[in-house]
Amino acid sequence: MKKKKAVLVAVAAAVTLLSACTNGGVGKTENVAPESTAAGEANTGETVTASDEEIIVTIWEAQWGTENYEDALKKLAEEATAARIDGKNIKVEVQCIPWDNYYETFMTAYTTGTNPDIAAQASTAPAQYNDLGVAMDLSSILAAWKAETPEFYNEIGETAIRFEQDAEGKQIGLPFAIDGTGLIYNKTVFENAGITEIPANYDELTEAAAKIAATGVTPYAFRANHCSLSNFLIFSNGGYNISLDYEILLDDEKVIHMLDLMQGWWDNGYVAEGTAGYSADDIRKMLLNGDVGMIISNIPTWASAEQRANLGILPVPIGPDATEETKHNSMSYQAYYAYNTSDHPEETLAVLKWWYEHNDILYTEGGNSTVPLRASQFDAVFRGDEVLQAFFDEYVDNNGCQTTFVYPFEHFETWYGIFDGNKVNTKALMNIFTGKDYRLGLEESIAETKEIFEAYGIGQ
Amino acid sequence: MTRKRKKTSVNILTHMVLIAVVCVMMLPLMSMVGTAFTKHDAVASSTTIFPAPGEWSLENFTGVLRKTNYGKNMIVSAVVSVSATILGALVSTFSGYALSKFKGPFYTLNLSLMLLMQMFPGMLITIPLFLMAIKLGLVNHLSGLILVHLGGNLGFNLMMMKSFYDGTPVEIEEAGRVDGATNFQVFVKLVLPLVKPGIATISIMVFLNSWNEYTMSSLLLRNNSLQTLTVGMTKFQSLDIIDWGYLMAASTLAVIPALFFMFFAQKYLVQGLTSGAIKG
Amino acid sequence: MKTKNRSVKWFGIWMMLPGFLMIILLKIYPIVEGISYSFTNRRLDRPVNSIEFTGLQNFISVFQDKKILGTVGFTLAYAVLIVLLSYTIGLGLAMLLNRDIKGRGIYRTLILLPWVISNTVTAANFRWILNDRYGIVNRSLIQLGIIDKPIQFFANRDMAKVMVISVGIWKTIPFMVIVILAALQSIPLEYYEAAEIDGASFWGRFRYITMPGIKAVTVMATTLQFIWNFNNFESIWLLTSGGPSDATMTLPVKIYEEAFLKNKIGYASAIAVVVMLFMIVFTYVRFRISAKANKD
Repeated sequence: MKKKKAVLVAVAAAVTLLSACTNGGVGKTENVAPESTAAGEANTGETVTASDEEIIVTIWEAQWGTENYEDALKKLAEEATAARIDGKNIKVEVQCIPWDNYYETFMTAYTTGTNPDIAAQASTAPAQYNDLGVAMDLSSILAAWKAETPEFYNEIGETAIRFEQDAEGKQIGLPFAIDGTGLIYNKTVFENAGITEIPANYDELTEAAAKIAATGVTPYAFRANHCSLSNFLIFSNGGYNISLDYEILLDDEKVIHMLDLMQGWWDNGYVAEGTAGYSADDIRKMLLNGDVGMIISNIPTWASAEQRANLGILPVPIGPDATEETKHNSMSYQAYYAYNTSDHPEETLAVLKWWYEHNDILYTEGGNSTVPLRASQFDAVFRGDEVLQAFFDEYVDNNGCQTTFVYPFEHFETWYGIFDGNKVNTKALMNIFTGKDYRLGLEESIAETKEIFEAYGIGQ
Repeated sequence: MTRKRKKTSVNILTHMVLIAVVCVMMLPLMSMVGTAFTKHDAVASSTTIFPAPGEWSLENFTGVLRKTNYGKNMIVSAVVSVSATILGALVSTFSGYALSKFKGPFYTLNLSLMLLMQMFPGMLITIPLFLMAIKLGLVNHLSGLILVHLGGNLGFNLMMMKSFYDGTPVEIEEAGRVDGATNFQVFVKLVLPLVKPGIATISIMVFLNSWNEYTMSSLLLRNNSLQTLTVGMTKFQSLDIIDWGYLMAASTLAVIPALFFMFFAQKYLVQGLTSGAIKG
Repeated sequence: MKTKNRSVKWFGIWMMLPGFLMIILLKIYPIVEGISYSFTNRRLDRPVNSIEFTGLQNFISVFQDKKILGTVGFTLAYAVLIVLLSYTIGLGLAMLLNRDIKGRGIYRTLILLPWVISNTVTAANFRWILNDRYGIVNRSLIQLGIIDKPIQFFANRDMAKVMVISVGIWKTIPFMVIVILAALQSIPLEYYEAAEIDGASFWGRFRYITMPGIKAVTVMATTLQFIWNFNNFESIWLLTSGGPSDATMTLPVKIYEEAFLKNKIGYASAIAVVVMLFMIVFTYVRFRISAKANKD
């Protein structure tokens, strides 16, 4: 009796293991045996020839939107499949990758050869995978747009296009959106504090803070543990992190002035006490509830239309060492890229082109939290919303004030990804918000940057 | 008379202290359940542990299971945990017996290795295991994670089974052999039934450790369709927008097996800890 | 008879084999690999053929790190405080549960819960209730008038430390309660009765009967939990990622950061080896102490 049980258990285990083995691993494109008339195909009644092989192209997108993002992706993929791109039988398969440990997800996919054909993840990715030698050249897509639909092409803009090229001019990414932060304020709080004019520089912001504090509301709250705050402050003062000849400017005058300013705000109680521990979600909630006057955050698509009615957008403030002309804002481009390890490079390019042109649904239904780069897509997706339009005009529009976060570098390089990803320039600010001397933080940041330079053989 | 009254008042005091302690310790979990059952849009503004009357709702649960693939995550967790449990229990059951009943250099080696294992920091093992899995192509395959999980608590389980076997009388085996039974029959028919509680205990421990495990699960199972629930739970924190309602509902679902074992198999859990404790 | 002995011998080896293989594959081999990495400059983002042998350089860097002392200090404080406090509270609770009161089983069940809940659920829960503006803990404390400003559990360096340690205690109390309770229940009642008849006070009974009775369990439980908490990574990582500003940085968190965020596998392994050496010394010392104690 017992022996039978033991054998049963062993068999069950073996079966489980076997099924587990065959279950795992998606991603490599395969050639599936030809199928006759694909189900769900539209109308035309043309007979499909037997040699219409099904080609699979896979796309992985990081979870740019809400929990609906996966659904939106799947819908778009179905549309893509039904569209018979280039007249071929291409099945588009899509996966939504959570941000948690996304870096490892893509890395291990690459090292095990199970990566997709097309991907949209962190802005650091195209450069990173180009370094590893697997980024596909996407210039043909841009060339097609330039020739066939020049308006479309112009909307993308030269800055964005150059950002996604490597030093040799190879197009390693197709920029489709902007990921950037700006000043968003709560109108009611500002009204109650008697603020009638839009603050245009940091002195006026300090004055405004005093007024808000007098009404008993916390003036400002930030998400400190992220490069966006540090970059915002430095860039608005006309400064930047690293110069073109790899000089580390983390303790430059312009930076110090901003740190002193923030220290002043902190000491006067103008900044929420929990800033060192806040997530983007925390400060947004506070803003919507009127518990804080102003935050720095992404475009307020995270608020409902009703809530947005009470929000306003402030322009990039002029830093103490800057002027209206020299102030910058830092933002990042998000781009699609493709792997040259694909079994079907031609079809991959075709699908990517289609995907890029038709991804409105990822915003409207998927809740993608980035800002569409092209003005016409922005219009289509965020039709007529005043607040969102204001954000777009101030923080997205390439009116010369906007610079990428790697400025003055034109192209994005992998080592910068490490610099940004490891939050190297946040240490000084975090020290302020946790009551330590910010100079110590600067020392650490500089030391770590030097380490990164060494590891990547730069600037020596 | 006074003795009894003293005892009753001490008892009442005991109850009060215990209730207070339990309330404090249960606070996070009560809050979790309370939030899970709150209407989705009311979550952000809720100020009490449990939702106000009229704000009770199952929509967080239906949302989690229908709108996302969390249900699939739970199934993956179940497959991994059950497999790891069966295999892990098998390994410890067999080898625990050997460790108990046999002497010799091979066994002393194993015992020493087990002792050494206790002192290894988990992190030192994680990195090479991860790289090894990549090399062997076990990433994004359930079998990779199952393999890692069945080794969870390996030392503890072997020691536990060994101490259970130590308690079985040798005479039974000798009698069995005299009667002509093979070694395996002696093991399965005569000894195994005596250590069933031990097997139950280590099975529960392996299952719970596997079900709750995060680090290796997040490193080894990356595909959307192949995540365990500990990793899948993080999808409710997309780009720092934390959907607390869904997150708490997902968490509540995640603790169900643990609760199940707590209420129906507590005896074994407790036994596991204590017999290990007493034998030192 | 000889053949019978031989077959038994082989049976034993076959039975031992699965365990042996698992030990080698899942523990010993990775450890050896891990130790070997510590002598190289291996990185996650560099191809395997570019790895160089660097000797003791990684170890020297570890000790040159200005913050390493702080990290080691906090790791020790973290483990020690959790063990001390969870033991004390656990002892108290176990003694209460040892009394013959109704509903003992229910209390025991509920107290056991924190131990079986996963770290991801725990972290999510505590982030929710400890939020400075909207979390129930701060709201209640302010309403009750105990504090007038919310406590910054995640933004204040000291409170963050208190918080992670408290969560650790929360998770460890169940373990302590269960094992101490089991030991308490194995102390014969007659001892207590005899002592009471002899007029011993509560503290007297505690010192001379209870404490010796639970000594073995105490040693085992505190040692195990010290090792587990010293090496604990997930709990702190999911709560604070070692922040704010490295306030809650412990050695395991640092190892993870260096290995998976900064891609420095060689360096991270070196730190892990140092931790392992510490563990070996600790275990050895503890072994000698208990051996000496047993001698008396």
